[in-house]
Amino acid sequence: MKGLGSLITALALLVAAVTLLTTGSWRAALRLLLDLLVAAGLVRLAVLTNWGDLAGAAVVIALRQLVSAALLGSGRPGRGTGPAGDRVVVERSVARWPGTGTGRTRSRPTS
Amino acid sequence: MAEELLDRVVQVLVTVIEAVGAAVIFGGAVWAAGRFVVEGIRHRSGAVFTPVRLTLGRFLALGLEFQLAADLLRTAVSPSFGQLGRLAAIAAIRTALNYFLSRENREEKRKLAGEGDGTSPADGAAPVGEGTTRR
Repeated sequence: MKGLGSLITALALLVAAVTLLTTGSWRAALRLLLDLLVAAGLVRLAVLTNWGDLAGAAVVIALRQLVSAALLGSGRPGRGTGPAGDRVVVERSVARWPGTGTGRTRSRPTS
Repeated sequence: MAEELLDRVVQVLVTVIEAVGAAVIFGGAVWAAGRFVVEGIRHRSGAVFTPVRLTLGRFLALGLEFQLAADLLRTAVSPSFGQLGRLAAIAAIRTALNYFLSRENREEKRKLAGEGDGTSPADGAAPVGEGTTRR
Protein backbone atom coordinates (compact mmCIF):
# COMPACT_ATOMS: atom_id res chain seq x y z
CA MET A 1 0.00 0.00 0.00
CA LYS A 2 3.01 2.27 0.39
CA GLY A 3 3.41 1.98 -3.37
CA LEU A 4 -0.15 3.21 -3.83
CA GLY A 5 0.60 6.17 -1.57
CA SER A 6 3.67 7.05 -3.61
CA LEU A 7 1.64 6.75 -6.82
CA ILE A 8 -0.99 9.16 -5.49
CA THR A 9 1.78 11.56 -4.40
CA ALA A 10 3.23 11.50 -7.92
CA LEU A 11 -0.26 12.12 -9.35
CA ALA A 12 -0.69 15.04 -6.91
CA LEU A 13 2.50 16.68 -8.12
CA LEU A 14 1.53 16.11 -11.76
CA VAL A 15 -1.99 17.54 -11.25
CA ALA A 16 -0.61 20.57 -9.39
CA ALA A 17 1.87 21.27 -12.19
CA VAL A 18 -0.80 20.91 -14.90
CA THR A 19 -3.22 23.11 -12.95
CA LEU A 20 -0.58 25.78 -12.45
CA LEU A 21 0.25 25.77 -16.15
CA THR A 22 -3.34 25.72 -17.45
CA THR A 23 -5.11 28.03 -14.99
CA GLY A 24 -2.18 30.11 -13.76
CA SER A 25 -3.65 30.00 -10.26
CA TRP A 26 -1.15 28.86 -7.62
CA ARG A 27 -3.93 28.78 -5.05
CA ALA A 28 -6.02 26.27 -7.04
CA ALA A 29 -2.90 24.20 -7.72
CA LEU A 30 -1.95 24.16 -4.03
CA ARG A 31 -5.47 23.12 -3.01
CA LEU A 32 -5.54 20.20 -5.43
CA LEU A 33 -2.03 19.20 -4.34
CA LEU A 34 -3.08 19.18 -0.67
CA ASP A 35 -6.29 17.25 -1.39
CA LEU A 36 -4.43 14.51 -3.20
CA LEU A 37 -1.61 14.46 -0.64
CA VAL A 38 -4.20 13.82 2.07
CA ALA A 39 -5.48 10.90 0.01
CA ALA A 40 -1.91 9.57 -0.19
CA GLY A 41 -1.48 10.04 3.57
CA LEU A 42 -4.69 8.13 4.26
CA VAL A 43 -3.58 5.19 2.14
CA ARG A 44 -0.21 5.18 3.94
CA LEU A 45 -1.96 5.40 7.30
CA ALA A 46 -3.33 1.91 6.65
CA VAL A 47 0.13 0.35 6.87
CA LEU A 48 1.80 2.34 9.63
CA THR A 49 4.20 0.32 11.72
CA ASN A 50 5.63 2.66 14.36
CA TRP A 51 4.94 5.85 16.31
CA GLY A 52 7.29 7.87 14.09
CA ASP A 53 5.24 7.15 10.94
CA LEU A 54 2.07 7.94 12.84
CA ALA A 55 3.42 11.28 14.07
CA GLY A 56 4.58 12.10 10.54
CA ALA A 57 1.12 11.40 9.10
CA ALA A 58 -0.53 13.48 11.84
CA VAL A 59 1.80 16.42 11.16
CA VAL A 60 1.12 16.28 7.39
CA ILE A 61 -2.65 16.21 7.96
CA ALA A 62 -2.52 19.04 10.51
CA LEU A 63 -0.33 21.12 8.21
CA ARG A 64 -2.73 20.50 5.37
CA GLN A 65 -5.67 21.67 7.49
CA LEU A 66 -3.81 24.84 8.46
CA VAL A 67 -2.87 25.71 4.89
CA SER A 68 -6.39 24.93 3.67
CA ALA A 69 -7.91 27.14 6.37
CA ALA A 70 -5.53 29.96 5.45
CA LEU A 71 -6.42 29.60 1.76
CA LEU A 72 -10.15 29.49 2.49
CA GLY A 73 -9.90 32.54 4.73
CA SER A 74 -8.10 34.69 2.18
CA GLY A 75 -10.16 33.44 -0.76
CA ARG A 76 -13.60 34.36 0.60
CA PRO A 77 -15.69 36.75 -1.41
CA GLY A 78 -16.97 39.93 0.17
CA ARG A 79 -14.11 42.41 0.00
CA GLY A 80 -15.49 44.48 -2.79
CA THR A 81 -16.05 41.63 -5.22
CA GLY A 82 -18.88 39.15 -5.60
CA PRO A 83 -18.56 35.41 -6.14
CA ALA A 84 -18.19 35.87 -9.85
CA GLY A 85 -15.70 38.67 -9.44
CA ASP A 86 -18.21 41.43 -10.27
CA ARG A 87 -17.56 44.87 -8.85
CA VAL A 88 -19.94 46.21 -6.20
CA VAL A 89 -20.30 49.58 -4.55
CA VAL A 90 -21.07 49.98 -0.87
CA GLU A 91 -23.66 52.52 0.16
CA ARG A 92 -24.74 53.46 3.69
CA SER A 93 -28.33 52.65 4.52
CA VAL A 94 -30.46 55.28 6.24
CA ALA A 95 -32.25 52.75 8.42
CA ARG A 96 -30.83 52.01 11.84
CA TRP A 97 -30.85 48.53 13.30
CA PRO A 98 -32.51 48.11 16.65
CA GLY A 99 -30.17 47.80 19.54
CA THR A 100 -27.02 48.70 17.69
CA GLY A 101 -27.38 52.48 17.41
CA THR A 102 -25.30 52.53 14.26
CA GLY A 103 -26.24 52.67 10.61
CA ARG A 104 -25.67 49.49 8.61
CA THR A 105 -24.38 49.38 5.09
CA ARG A 106 -25.70 47.73 1.99
CA SER A 107 -23.92 47.12 -1.24
CA ARG A 108 -25.30 46.93 -4.72
CA PRO A 109 -23.70 45.80 -7.98
CA THR A 110 -22.55 48.42 -10.43
CA SER A 111 -24.46 48.61 -13.65
CA MET B 1 -8.14 -22.96 20.15
CA ALA B 2 -11.34 -20.95 19.82
CA GLU B 3 -9.43 -17.75 20.65
CA GLU B 4 -6.89 -18.45 17.94
CA LEU B 5 -9.64 -19.04 15.41
CA LEU B 6 -11.38 -15.81 16.41
CA ASP B 7 -8.06 -13.99 16.19
CA ARG B 8 -7.47 -15.24 12.66
CA VAL B 9 -11.01 -14.45 11.51
CA VAL B 10 -10.75 -10.93 12.89
CA GLN B 11 -7.35 -10.41 11.27
CA VAL B 12 -8.71 -11.50 7.90
CA LEU B 13 -11.74 -9.23 8.27
CA VAL B 14 -9.55 -6.29 9.31
CA THR B 15 -7.30 -6.80 6.29
CA VAL B 16 -10.26 -7.05 3.91
CA ILE B 17 -12.02 -3.97 5.30
CA GLU B 18 -8.82 -1.93 5.35
CA ALA B 19 -8.05 -2.97 1.77
CA VAL B 20 -11.54 -1.90 0.69
CA GLY B 21 -11.02 1.47 2.38
CA ALA B 22 -7.64 1.95 0.72
CA ALA B 23 -9.10 0.90 -2.65
CA VAL B 24 -11.91 3.44 -2.32
CA ILE B 25 -9.43 6.22 -1.47
CA PHE B 26 -7.03 5.18 -4.24
CA GLY B 27 -9.82 4.92 -6.82
CA GLY B 28 -11.20 8.31 -5.82
CA ALA B 29 -7.77 9.93 -5.98
CA VAL B 30 -6.99 8.50 -9.43
CA TRP B 31 -10.43 9.48 -10.76
CA ALA B 32 -10.14 12.99 -9.31
CA ALA B 33 -6.60 13.44 -10.68
CA GLY B 34 -7.86 12.53 -14.16
CA ARG B 35 -10.80 14.90 -13.89
CA PHE B 36 -8.59 17.72 -12.57
CA VAL B 37 -6.28 17.41 -15.56
CA VAL B 38 -9.13 17.16 -18.09
CA GLU B 39 -11.15 20.04 -16.61
CA GLY B 40 -8.04 22.19 -16.18
CA ILE B 41 -7.03 21.76 -19.83
CA ARG B 42 -10.60 22.12 -21.13
CA HIS B 43 -11.77 25.16 -19.12
CA ARG B 44 -8.51 26.78 -17.92
CA SER B 45 -10.29 28.10 -14.83
CA GLY B 46 -9.91 27.21 -11.14
CA ALA B 47 -13.68 27.43 -10.52
CA VAL B 48 -14.47 24.17 -12.34
CA PHE B 49 -12.54 22.10 -9.79
CA THR B 50 -15.03 22.50 -6.93
CA PRO B 51 -17.48 19.70 -7.93
CA VAL B 52 -14.58 17.32 -8.50
CA ARG B 53 -13.06 18.28 -5.11
CA LEU B 54 -16.44 17.60 -3.49
CA THR B 55 -16.58 14.14 -5.02
CA LEU B 56 -13.00 13.44 -3.98
CA GLY B 57 -13.93 14.49 -0.44
CA ARG B 58 -16.79 11.98 -0.48
CA PHE B 59 -14.44 9.23 -1.61
CA LEU B 60 -11.97 10.10 1.16
CA ALA B 61 -14.71 10.19 3.80
CA LEU B 62 -16.06 6.82 2.64
CA GLY B 63 -12.59 5.27 2.69
CA LEU B 64 -11.99 6.68 6.16
CA GLU B 65 -15.21 5.11 7.40
CA PHE B 66 -13.97 1.71 6.25
CA GLN B 67 -10.60 2.27 7.91
CA LEU B 68 -12.27 3.34 11.14
CA ALA B 69 -14.39 0.21 11.02
CA ALA B 70 -11.21 -1.85 10.66
CA ASP B 71 -9.68 -0.01 13.64
CA LEU B 72 -12.72 -0.78 15.76
CA LEU B 73 -12.59 -4.42 14.79
CA ARG B 74 -8.88 -4.57 15.57
CA THR B 75 -9.44 -3.39 19.14
CA ALA B 76 -11.32 -6.65 19.71
CA VAL B 77 -8.11 -8.65 19.49
CA SER B 78 -5.39 -6.21 20.60
CA PRO B 79 -3.61 -7.85 23.52
CA SER B 80 -1.26 -5.10 24.74
CA PHE B 81 -1.70 -1.53 25.94
CA GLY B 82 0.95 -0.39 23.44
CA GLN B 83 -1.06 -1.69 20.50
CA LEU B 84 -4.28 -0.28 21.93
CA GLY B 85 -2.61 3.12 22.34
CA ARG B 86 -1.46 3.11 18.72
CA LEU B 87 -4.91 2.11 17.55
CA ALA B 88 -6.43 4.90 19.60
CA ALA B 89 -4.03 7.44 18.05
CA ILE B 90 -4.80 6.25 14.51
CA ALA B 91 -8.53 6.25 15.20
CA ALA B 92 -8.27 9.78 16.67
CA ILE B 93 -6.43 11.05 13.58
CA ARG B 94 -8.93 9.42 11.24
CA THR B 95 -11.92 10.69 13.21
CA ALA B 96 -10.54 14.25 13.25
CA LEU B 97 -9.80 14.08 9.54
CA ASN B 98 -13.27 12.72 8.83
CA TYR B 99 -14.77 15.64 10.76
CA PHE B 100 -12.69 18.23 8.88
CA LEU B 101 -13.45 16.62 5.52
CA SER B 102 -17.19 16.60 6.21
CA ARG B 103 -17.04 20.24 7.30
CA GLU B 104 -15.14 21.25 4.17
CA ASN B 105 -17.61 19.33 2.03
CA ARG B 106 -20.52 21.16 3.66
CA GLU B 107 -18.84 24.54 3.09
CA GLU B 108 -18.07 23.78 -0.54
CA LYS B 109 -21.65 22.58 -1.12
CA ARG B 110 -22.99 25.75 0.44
CA LYS B 111 -20.72 27.83 -1.78
CA LEU B 112 -21.86 25.95 -4.87
CA ALA B 113 -25.51 26.37 -3.90
CA GLY B 114 -24.93 30.09 -3.30
CA GLU B 115 -23.35 30.50 -6.72
CA GLY B 116 -26.08 28.38 -8.32
CA ASP B 117 -29.00 30.56 -7.19
CA GLY B 118 -27.05 33.77 -7.67
CA THR B 119 -26.85 34.69 -4.00
CA SER B 120 -24.06 34.85 -1.51
CA PRO B 121 -23.89 31.91 0.94
CA ALA B 122 -24.38 34.26 3.86
CA ASP B 123 -27.66 35.59 2.51
CA GLY B 124 -30.45 35.38 5.01
CA ALA B 125 -28.15 34.31 7.80
CA ALA B 126 -27.35 37.77 9.12
CA PRO B 127 -27.92 41.44 8.39
CA VAL B 128 -25.90 42.66 5.45
CA GLY B 129 -22.70 44.28 6.64
CA GLU B 130 -20.05 46.38 4.99
CA GLY B 131 -18.36 44.63 2.13
CA THR B 132 -20.93 41.84 1.87
CA THR B 133 -21.98 41.13 -1.67
CA ARG B 134 -25.63 41.67 -2.45
CA ARG B 135 -27.19 41.34 -5.86
